[in-house]
Amino acid sequence: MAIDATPRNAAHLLRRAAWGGRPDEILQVVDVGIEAAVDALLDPSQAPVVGEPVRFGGIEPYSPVEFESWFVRLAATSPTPAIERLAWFWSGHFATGIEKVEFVDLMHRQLVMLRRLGLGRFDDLLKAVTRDAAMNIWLDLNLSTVGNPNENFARELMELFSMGIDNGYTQSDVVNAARALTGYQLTDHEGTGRVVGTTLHAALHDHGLKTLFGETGPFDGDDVVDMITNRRECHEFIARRMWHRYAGTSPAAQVVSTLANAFGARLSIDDLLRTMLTLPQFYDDDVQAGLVSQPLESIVRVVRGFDLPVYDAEALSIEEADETTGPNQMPPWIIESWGETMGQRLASPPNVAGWPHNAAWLDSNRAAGRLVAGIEMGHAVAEYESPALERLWSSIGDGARLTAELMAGMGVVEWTAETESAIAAAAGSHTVDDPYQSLVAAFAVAFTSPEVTLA
Amino acid sequence: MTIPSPHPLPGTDQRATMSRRRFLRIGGAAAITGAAAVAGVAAADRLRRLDEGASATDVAYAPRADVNPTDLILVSVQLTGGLDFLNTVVPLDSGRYRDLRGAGAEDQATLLPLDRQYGFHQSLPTLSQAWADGELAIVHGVGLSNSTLSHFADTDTWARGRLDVGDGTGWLGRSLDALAADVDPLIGVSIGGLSPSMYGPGWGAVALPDDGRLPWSAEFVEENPGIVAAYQGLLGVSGRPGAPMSLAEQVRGSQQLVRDVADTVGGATDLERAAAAMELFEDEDEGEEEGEEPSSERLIGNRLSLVADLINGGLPTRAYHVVHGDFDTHAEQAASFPLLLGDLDQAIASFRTKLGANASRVVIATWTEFGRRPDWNGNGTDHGTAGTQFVLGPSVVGGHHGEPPPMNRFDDEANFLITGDFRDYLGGLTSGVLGVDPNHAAPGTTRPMELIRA
Repeated sequence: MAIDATPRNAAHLLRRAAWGGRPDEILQVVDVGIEAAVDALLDPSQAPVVGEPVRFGGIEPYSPVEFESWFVRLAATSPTPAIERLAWFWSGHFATGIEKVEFVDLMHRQLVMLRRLGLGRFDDLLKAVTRDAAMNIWLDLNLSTVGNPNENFARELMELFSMGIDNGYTQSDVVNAARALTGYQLTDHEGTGRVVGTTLHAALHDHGLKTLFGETGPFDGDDVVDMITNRRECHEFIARRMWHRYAGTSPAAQVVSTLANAFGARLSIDDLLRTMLTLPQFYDDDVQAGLVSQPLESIVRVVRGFDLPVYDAEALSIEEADETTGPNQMPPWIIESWGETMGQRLASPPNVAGWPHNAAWLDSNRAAGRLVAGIEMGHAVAEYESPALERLWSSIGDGARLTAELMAGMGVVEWTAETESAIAAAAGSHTVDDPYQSLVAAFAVAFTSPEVTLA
Repeated sequence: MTIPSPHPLPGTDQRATMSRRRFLRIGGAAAITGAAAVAGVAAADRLRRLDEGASATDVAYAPRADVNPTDLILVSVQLTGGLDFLNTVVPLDSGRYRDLRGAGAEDQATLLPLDRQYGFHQSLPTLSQAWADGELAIVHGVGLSNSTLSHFADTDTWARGRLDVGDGTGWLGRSLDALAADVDPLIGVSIGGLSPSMYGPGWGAVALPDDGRLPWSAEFVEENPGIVAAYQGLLGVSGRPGAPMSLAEQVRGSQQLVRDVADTVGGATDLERAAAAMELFEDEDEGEEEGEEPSSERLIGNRLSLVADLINGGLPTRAYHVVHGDFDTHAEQAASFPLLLGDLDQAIASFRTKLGANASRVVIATWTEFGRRPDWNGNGTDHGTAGTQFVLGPSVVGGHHGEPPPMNRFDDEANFLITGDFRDYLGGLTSGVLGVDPNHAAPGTTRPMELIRA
């Protein structure tokens, strides 16, 4: 059954699969239909090539400010925003924190890896995560050796990454998986002490027999991944996680079953995502109203929607970017500042389970942070050169046009009457004496509205 | 790491003299003095007295009229990650302990002896003194009968106060809800994010930033009248985070909550109040370097300091929630554990000093999702089951509560046996401190612990 490519459904698809769509992009989905639009969104052939952190991985220090600017700029300008959105999904799924990892270039490498493998086979992805240097540090995997297995990674591998809490594995499976996963060690670059990856050291690996899911053998880490990803619990868990973060609601059993079947056949993440985005239930009213936009997603939505000029972290150092800050380029710290204010930094999830979901973003503390960030973003939108700037300025004083411009930039196709009157109240409050403040106020009110707070 | 200080964007401040930091500080200060305003101390009067040379601390706060000054206040301290109780309350002269912990065993000579059986980790002098004063309860062996050894499942169970899924409310939220027919959201304050333990039926408690800095200061209002006007237009929309209603309603509710909290705590419209507040808080900001951020461990000190300000400010709040961690010491426990305990201990000492006379009203109670494995893993400890909790305050029934888990008999997964039901702990805590039926906190509690003196 084809899904109606109404403007509402088209905007919903672009807000969830990507970071929101401008009016021309929404109309394009309406024209070609949902299925063809999903094909285009998930076509990796147009994705920009992103490599190792060349400039960053050298001798220059690399800060979280640069890392976040790099990713937000990539996400906002990419011709394949759904590929970037998927990398962000995996970075939340495999939540890793810079506080413990310490090397930002390792976080960069991890994100590049997740982006490269994110649409492929899940077992390949999981094996790469097991070898990832940042993950090794984060969950103590490189400290787990024969005779002294550390359960941290083995437990989270099953609980958080592949099967779900208490879902088809036992404590004994965790202990045995920990033994199978022993022996990974960090490697550095030509003896410099700069961590660049991991290798498996045979002498530190437990070669003995392990019993996992009732089978016994001299298993290693890749065997553990293969055994896990062959299980139905894994297929259902990954289907649920993807629905959780893209749809937001509790999926019906039949939805989980459909998605798990699509995924389990070839362990293809592409199959899973494509099936989900073309499922009629994905466009149900409760799903359309069922997900709170995470702060970083909101930032990318605004940067993309209003063409805000984020500096190019691959080309410029922070010092250079600071010097070239002007009407055509925002200051280098600005992305980080917005994220900090709203409580989300790219490489700093609150714990190994990743970012909060839905209502946890709506308490009075978060709501206040969103308001402050909305004001700061409103200043940026009103200040920096962009194609939207002229249109916005010229719409001040014309309530209908201003709300239309804000909708266009925020990927919304309809406001509720409450929000529309709140925007009008904000916009009308300064018109005579200070149009600049009117614009900022209208922007901030729109940004904190349910229409934009919800993804 | 030094984070570059954001310079103000054009237009954020037409007077061009106010840094962002200062802007935020006024916001935070207003949050605190708002409490004083509620307490009925006129801003003008405080200003006058400050002008006359009175020190900030002389400008004392009187309690709010509807606050009973003898009501006990619960400060819930969540020790995230799973506290290793065995290296916190250490058995004395125990060969069995040394066998289990090997290289990870605490040196007996460094312990602070509690009695003939146990000694505290050396990083806990404040708790040790409280024990000697009879103001500390050590509650042994508390855990979940359905533990999965997962941080998240077990933390959720603790926050719910029940083994079953329930209705999404938390143990503190339900207990606070039982205190009044029409609950003021300020009855519960969560520092940082809103703890799910404070989700009430149909409402959510207030969450404040770690530093108490709300945006809704007098300066904020002055600079953003358009937004204030627009938010006024949203009045009358119900909904609170954590309440069982649609997300869109909850967004509206959170917008209104920001406004409500600002009105009550922040004092949105009185410029004088903000000015007075700046003076009041000048001392505290001294010595704080631009761009310097406290480590995550040190944050417990900031959080409890803010709680002390709010209590001293006479808020109607009966329960606060703060977090401290991360106690998930799988690796390098020998290095991190003393810091984690020491920061907690110092934070509690400073907190009680700052509270002054109000310390008599405060009960500090810890909870942690589980303890850790008896065996040392070579570098730290993996997830366990039974945990030890601490309750501290002048009204606490000091001493050992419950039975320590046996040291020589473990469960099927080589973990300590649970000897106390977490529901009896939470039920006893809330009935003792808040005076409500323990079944609100913990449906099904059978023997609520007697932790608070009647």
